[in-house]
Amino acid sequence: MEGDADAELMLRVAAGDKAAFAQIFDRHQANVARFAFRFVGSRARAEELAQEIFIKLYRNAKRYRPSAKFKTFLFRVATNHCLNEVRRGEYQVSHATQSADGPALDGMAEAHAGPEQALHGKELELAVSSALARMSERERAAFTMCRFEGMAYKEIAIALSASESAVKSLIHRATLGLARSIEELQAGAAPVRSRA
Amino acid sequence: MSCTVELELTAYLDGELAPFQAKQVENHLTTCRSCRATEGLLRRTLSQLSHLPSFEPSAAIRRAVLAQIEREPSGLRTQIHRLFRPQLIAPSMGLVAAAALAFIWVKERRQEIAEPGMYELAANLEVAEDYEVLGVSSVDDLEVVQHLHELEVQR
Repeated sequence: MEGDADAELMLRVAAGDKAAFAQIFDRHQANVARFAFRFVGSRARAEELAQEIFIKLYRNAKRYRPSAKFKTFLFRVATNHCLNEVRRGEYQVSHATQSADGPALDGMAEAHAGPEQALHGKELELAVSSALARMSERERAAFTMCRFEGMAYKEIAIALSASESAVKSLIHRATLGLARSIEELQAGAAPVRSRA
Repeated sequence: MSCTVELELTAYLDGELAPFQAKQVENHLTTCRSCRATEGLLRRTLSQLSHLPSFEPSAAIRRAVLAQIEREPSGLRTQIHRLFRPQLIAPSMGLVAAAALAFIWVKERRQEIAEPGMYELAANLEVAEDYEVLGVSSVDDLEVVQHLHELEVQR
């Protein structure tokens, strides 16, 4: 009953309980930081955003109603914050088509070797980053919640204040865009691997 | 040219379609080569995403956020709630129990001290009653009254 536990913790946070907030933070900080990273494409900026999102969550805890699933509420706060920051020009989306952001790919665990046709970890990461950079902000938010956080379309619709059919379209376009991006990269990368 | 069913393919792979819609897509895939190719491409892409390097945020975030939260004002309910923490409740209850015991002990001691006085008062009232009954008229009568109880004991 993880959801119930989160709801209970949030009610305590709403009453100003900082220890309960620390528990909420520990349970969800990796998800929020990962979402922000996929959204802006920079580790340093993602960590700043994650901090701001959690502080905003603490300050807005009274607005949480246990009838809403906590993770949906959290990602609504996270999405709104990331969208606002990007639109304000505070953060430029900087998904690396190469390691332009320097540490963007640093500190990320190497992916294990996949099938013959699969891209390797950093190549795949670059393909994903490149595809994310081409997506609209809402496509990127929906895609990230779906693919990296495993959220259902219904939850994503609530987080984005959109209809489920709109979310279905956003996710389809985003996923197909990524698929084409990987396909192109694989086509281009194949001769390089054959020389190795 | 892609057909309209293609728009359903990602939701189909994500298990987001109603059973009857999923069945429609499955039937369509048996006949549409283009959608079958797209479905295969999407399926491979989703499989590859599981090979992405993981992203782990640094521990510095935790320190920074919790330090910031510590500077935020606490709610009144939390402050009241904190007063009832076990760490405070146990010693407080101990103090209350000790104070109650001390109060009872002092009260009993006071009663002990009060009792001789009450006995003295009762004795004096008894003597006064004797004076009244006997109709004291001289100093010698007073002496007799004072020794009445001695006579009773001897009897």
